[in-house]
Amino acid sequence: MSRIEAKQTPIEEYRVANEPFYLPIANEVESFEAAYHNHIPVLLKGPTGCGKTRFVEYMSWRLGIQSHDMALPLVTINCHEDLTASDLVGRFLLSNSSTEWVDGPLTRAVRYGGICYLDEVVEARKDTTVVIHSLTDYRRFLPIDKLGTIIDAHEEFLLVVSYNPGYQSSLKDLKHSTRQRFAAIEFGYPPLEIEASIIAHEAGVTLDLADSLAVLAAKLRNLNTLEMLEGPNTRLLIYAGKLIRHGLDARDAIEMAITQAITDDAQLQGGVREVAEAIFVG
Amino acid sequence: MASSLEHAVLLEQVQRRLTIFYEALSARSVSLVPLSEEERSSPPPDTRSTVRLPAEQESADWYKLAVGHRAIHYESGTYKFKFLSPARHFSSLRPDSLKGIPVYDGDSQLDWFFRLFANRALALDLFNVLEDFRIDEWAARKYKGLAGLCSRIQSRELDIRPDVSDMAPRQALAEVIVRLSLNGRLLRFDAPAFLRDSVSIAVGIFDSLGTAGATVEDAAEATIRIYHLLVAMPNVAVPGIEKVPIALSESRSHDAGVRWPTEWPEPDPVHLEGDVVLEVRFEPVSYREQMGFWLRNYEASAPPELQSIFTFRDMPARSKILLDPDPMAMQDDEFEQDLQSPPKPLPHDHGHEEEDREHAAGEIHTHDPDVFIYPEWDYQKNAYLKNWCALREQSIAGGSEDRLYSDTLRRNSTLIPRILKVVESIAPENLRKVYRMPFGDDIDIDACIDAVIDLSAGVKVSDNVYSARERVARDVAVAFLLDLSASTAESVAGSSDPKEESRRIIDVEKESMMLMLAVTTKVGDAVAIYGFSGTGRDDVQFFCLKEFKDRFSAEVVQRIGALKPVHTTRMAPAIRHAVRKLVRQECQTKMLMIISDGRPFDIDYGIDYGEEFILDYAVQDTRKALDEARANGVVPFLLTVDEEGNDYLREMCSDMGYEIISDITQLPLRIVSLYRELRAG
Ligand SMILES: Nc1ncnc2c1ncn2[C@@H]1O[C@H](COP(=O)(O)OP(=O)(O)OP(=O)(O)O)[C@@H](O)[C@H]1O
Ligand SMILES: [Mg+2]
Repeated sequence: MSRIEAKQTPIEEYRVANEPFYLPIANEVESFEAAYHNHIPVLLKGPTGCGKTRFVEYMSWRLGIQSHDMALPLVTINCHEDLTASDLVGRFLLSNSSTEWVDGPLTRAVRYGGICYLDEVVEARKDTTVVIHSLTDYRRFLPIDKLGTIIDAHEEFLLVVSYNPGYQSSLKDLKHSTRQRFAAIEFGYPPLEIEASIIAHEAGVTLDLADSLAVLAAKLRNLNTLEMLEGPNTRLLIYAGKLIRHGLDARDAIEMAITQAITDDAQLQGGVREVAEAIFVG
Repeated sequence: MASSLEHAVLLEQVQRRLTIFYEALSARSVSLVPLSEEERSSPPPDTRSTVRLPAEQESADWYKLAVGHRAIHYESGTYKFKFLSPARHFSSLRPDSLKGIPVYDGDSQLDWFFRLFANRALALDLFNVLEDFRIDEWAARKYKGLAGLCSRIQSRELDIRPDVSDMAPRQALAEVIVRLSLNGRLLRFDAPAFLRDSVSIAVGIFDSLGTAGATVEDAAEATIRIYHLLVAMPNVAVPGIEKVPIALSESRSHDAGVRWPTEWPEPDPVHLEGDVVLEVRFEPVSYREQMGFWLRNYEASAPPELQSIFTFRDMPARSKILLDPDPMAMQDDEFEQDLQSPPKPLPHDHGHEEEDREHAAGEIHTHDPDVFIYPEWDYQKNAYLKNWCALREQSIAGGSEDRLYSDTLRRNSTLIPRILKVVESIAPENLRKVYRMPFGDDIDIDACIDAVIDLSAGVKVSDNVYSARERVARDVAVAFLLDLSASTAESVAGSSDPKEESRRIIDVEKESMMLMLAVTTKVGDAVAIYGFSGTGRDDVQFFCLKEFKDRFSAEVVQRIGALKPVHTTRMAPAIRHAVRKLVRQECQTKMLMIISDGRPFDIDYGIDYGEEFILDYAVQDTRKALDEARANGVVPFLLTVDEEGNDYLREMCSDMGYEIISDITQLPLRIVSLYRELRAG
């Protein structure tokens, strides 16, 4: 087998190629569009796997198509606690005996235009997050300390951040001065029928099966507060659907993609199985 | 029967799984409780958070169906019955207004519905059967995995139904209804011809009620119709009448050619003698629940606690256990608020200071900022006595002796490795390596490289080039509350070392605190240590040995070292005060460990009620204070040090963290490992 050459794209030029599948839950699409046209940065709140990333991809496509026949560039940066300001803005690198400045992904997106998506922004250190402050108010510029320069954001630049209010401890909250630079859209698990359509589409299973998976999830999510068990997200339901479509027995697929995935506690697993076995015939 | 018993299943084997199953389906919490042998014949009704089931059954499937059935009542809206909402599959026979129907505060709309009927008990039983049928059909449609076991268990139920053929017509029809509700349509029997029509109409009604989309209002409409069929039947056998074969397979439309009742509420019919003696009985189906009993009585005369019993009421999903009957609830809330607000001297609206002492006959007031006023729970009155106890915060002058800590560590030298192991098992999650710090215990290589490059690029160089171990913010606050009552002066029996001077309970308490300080500081938890004692309700003494904000210092050790046994034990106000302090800690987990002798006596505790009540009074007040702690998010744990087992608090603590230590020398080790367990949650 010949080696397949992996496709390489500079990060700032990445665009989604085809229209992403996205089912609107409420009026988030209109809200986001309005924010984009007014240069208002957007904060997406919501639990993991509820469609935030997919939504941003979809919006980059939708907004791009309206003016350019193709999606807007989309730069995604996953934040973590060791992410430094230099990782975002850029740094000097040694080359031979001299040094050379290299733009970070944020700087590139600011110059080039498009959506820059900082995923899980609370994970970043507070001293990192402040570099976006001037970018996210009326100034819309990014200062680069080390170069002593300031870059004005491209007309089509929009900063989007995501944040999961549930699982971080209250300690790891966004600073108010950061938070209040964004307009926010809240995401939750989709309503049952929509979630079923999503599963059917993404996993390629019948609506009937997708519906059962969505019912299972709705029931297990009741345990969030009662048993402190975080119910499965849409992503896991899609996994289960895919496994079933591949030919795995429904109960085995659920065991693997849901039961084992959401808890290690044997007793909770027992309870989850009872629910699954009530919905799916073995 | 005999063969199935071989595979008997105990409730406890499936309890946890099915609890979760119930919770998932109904979105409410529940405890599944086994019925005792005596209760089985007339089981107490389920409450809104308790479901009672036989302790043993023939199969796990039976339990699953029974639990599922109960949960699905919530899911499919039994308790959301709306009197005026139309049904899906029946035209409405219910009146279209509430005119003439008695309606009381707190009624459920099902209450209103049952007031339509002259024979309320019959309507109730009937509705029960019909709604259970709707639930089972609903379940089988939505839960494909339940469908199979439901029909298996239903057919087993059908096998043991009573024989219809000798029954009086009304009773026979009732039995037919139950069988239809179990999908038993194979029955053929001989009965007077006039029964045939009613049976086929009933079958038609079941056809509609079993259709997808049927709601609780459909069950209500079906109830009106079948009730009407039932009361039209003679309830004594008609001798010598010719019998014809009747089958349950024929179905007749229920809305054509039947004159259904229209006058509501139903006028009281003339009571025939036979009505009382020969009441229609719907033989119960094992896996279905019995209706709560107070709905049966037209005038509910049950005490308030019983009224809260689950009887077709839609209770809020949140399950707060109300320990008090309603009238008290308000005072309770008031008190919770009071607990959470920061301590401030209470306003004093009386003229003379000298009167303060007199108030002790009733409420106590104070200007003293070190004195805090607390209520007391009077279980005889079933009410809080407002402003009842005065608690004074006192600091202890430390002695000069500060070897307690090192002595303790030395004395427990064999213990130390074990404790350290415990500590280590807690510690890692609390320390985290952080990079690019201005100072720290290690060099951050990445940061250094960046700095070197920046240096050669000639730009500003950051001096954040260290990595450090940072304590992740404190998650746990624990307060220790030490009983300093006179009984702590008792010496510890059986000291292994005869040369050793005799040690008292209080010495062991001190030693335990030293160990706890060692542990908590290592782990980085916030810790406070208090002692309490007193001589009556206007003199509760509360000693602050270490506040949360105090650093662990020689002074703290000296203060603890200087502790002496004092007077009596009035534990409740001390608990209330410690909780007040804990509530203000910004930690996720707040724990209160109380170390006492288990004898909660005080001079004037419940004195008005006479000797024999003193103990109960004290126990109830303490219990109340512990409940308040929990309501405020504090996890209490009670450790009783008592070598004789004279423990009066055991009973009160059946549902919370509690332990008796009979071998006092075990206290230090036990306290540390308990701490770890509690902390792990
Ligand atoms: N409204 C929706 N329309 C289409 N697909 C959806 C929708 N909501 C969720 N999904 C699907 O759910 C899956 C998870 O979504 P996604 O990865 O966007 O979640 P996320 O919110 O970004 O999660 P995380 O916070 O973990 O990154 C995707 O496969 C996506 O297709
Ligand atoms: Mg994502």
